[in-house]
Amino acid sequence: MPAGSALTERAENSLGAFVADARRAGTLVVQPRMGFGRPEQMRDGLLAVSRAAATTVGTITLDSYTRVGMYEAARRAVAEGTPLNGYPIVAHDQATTQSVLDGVLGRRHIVIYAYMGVFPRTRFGALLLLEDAARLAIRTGAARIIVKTVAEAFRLPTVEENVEAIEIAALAAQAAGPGLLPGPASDEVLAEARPLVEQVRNLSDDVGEALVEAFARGLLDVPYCLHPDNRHLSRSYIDPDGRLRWSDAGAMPITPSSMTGRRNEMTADGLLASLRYMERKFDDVANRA
Amino acid sequence: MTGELKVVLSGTASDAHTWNLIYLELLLEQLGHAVTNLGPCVPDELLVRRCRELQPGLIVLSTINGLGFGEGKRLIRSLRRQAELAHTPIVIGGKLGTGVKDQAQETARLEAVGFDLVANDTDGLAPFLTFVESLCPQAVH
Repeated sequence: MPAGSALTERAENSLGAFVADARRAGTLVVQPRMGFGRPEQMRDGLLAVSRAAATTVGTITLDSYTRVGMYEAARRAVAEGTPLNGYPIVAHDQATTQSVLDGVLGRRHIVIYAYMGVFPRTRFGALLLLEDAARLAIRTGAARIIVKTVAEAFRLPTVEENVEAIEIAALAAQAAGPGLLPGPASDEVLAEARPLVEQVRNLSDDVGEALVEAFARGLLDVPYCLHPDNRHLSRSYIDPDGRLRWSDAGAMPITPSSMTGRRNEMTADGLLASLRYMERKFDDVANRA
Repeated sequence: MTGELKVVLSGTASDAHTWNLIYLELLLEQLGHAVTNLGPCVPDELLVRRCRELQPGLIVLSTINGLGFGEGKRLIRSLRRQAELAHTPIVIGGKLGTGVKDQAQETARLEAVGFDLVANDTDGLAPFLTFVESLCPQAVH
């Protein structure tokens, strides 16, 4: 987003703003005519367009029956499996159309929230952390960042503090270098995630039922989550390198190699130490500067 | 020597924060007390009902979203209306205001309407810990 511009939230303006911005950047927005009778084909088409190596807008082109108001004919075609020359948006129910658009509508994009934990107390430390978040957003391909300000550790920010944060994050994003390369840490996360996903999926063909059962059994257990449906046996902490580690996996299928030797109970002071890791890291830099 | 207190720990209806509740639960358990943690976003009537059921030796309300002064005034009235809770020690602490200028006045108001202790985060933990210790039966020699 170019500095000084603001995307309005009104639906009727969002496409216009998107196209205007692309034009200002000298980029042509490319849009197909595309419509299929079957919802899964329509969805595949929309996804392929969104992934194309171009600045695109997705289209749902309606079939001829629907366009001229012959809704009964469109419904019969769907019921009989007769191919159509477009998507019969009136014949398919709302839930079906929602599933076609799920994740595609609004040009699916990633949003980064600047650090949500205990914030640095020094002005310099707070702005360093904000700049770090802006660089993370650029390097991970996020489209948008929600900022935090120098007031975060103390109170709600003034308008001026928010504007300052927005402008500093924008500058840091513009100056950001090339993207992160995947490394051993991401392999570790994948190795840990795979058995979790597989064990949950094995519980039922219905993902919703599987998730409910998984939480009941403690196969999924969110650390420090006080929800009554959560087993609340798992514990995590921040290690000296700043990485999130398990100190207790509860009943989850986390392999021993994923855990460090540290199995001591989390104490009140230990919790605070982990929560304050980022605050201390960035305030230390500020205090040494 | 400290005795074991039965404590009800809770967030306020508007406050979704949990780290403060987990911290206080760990702290109180380390001191040897038994904690029922109602968690965040607790509706007033649920808090009142659970307190009447459990008849705790201490009720601790923790809130850090800056709305605690207002929520506290409402909650203490509901709690003190219950015959079983008229004399139960009740504490509220955390970040109780959104940078409110007359914090001392707001604090005094809350104490006047029935809280035994109002502890802002700027006071640190000492007032709270001292208060908890004062509730515990001393060993008799």
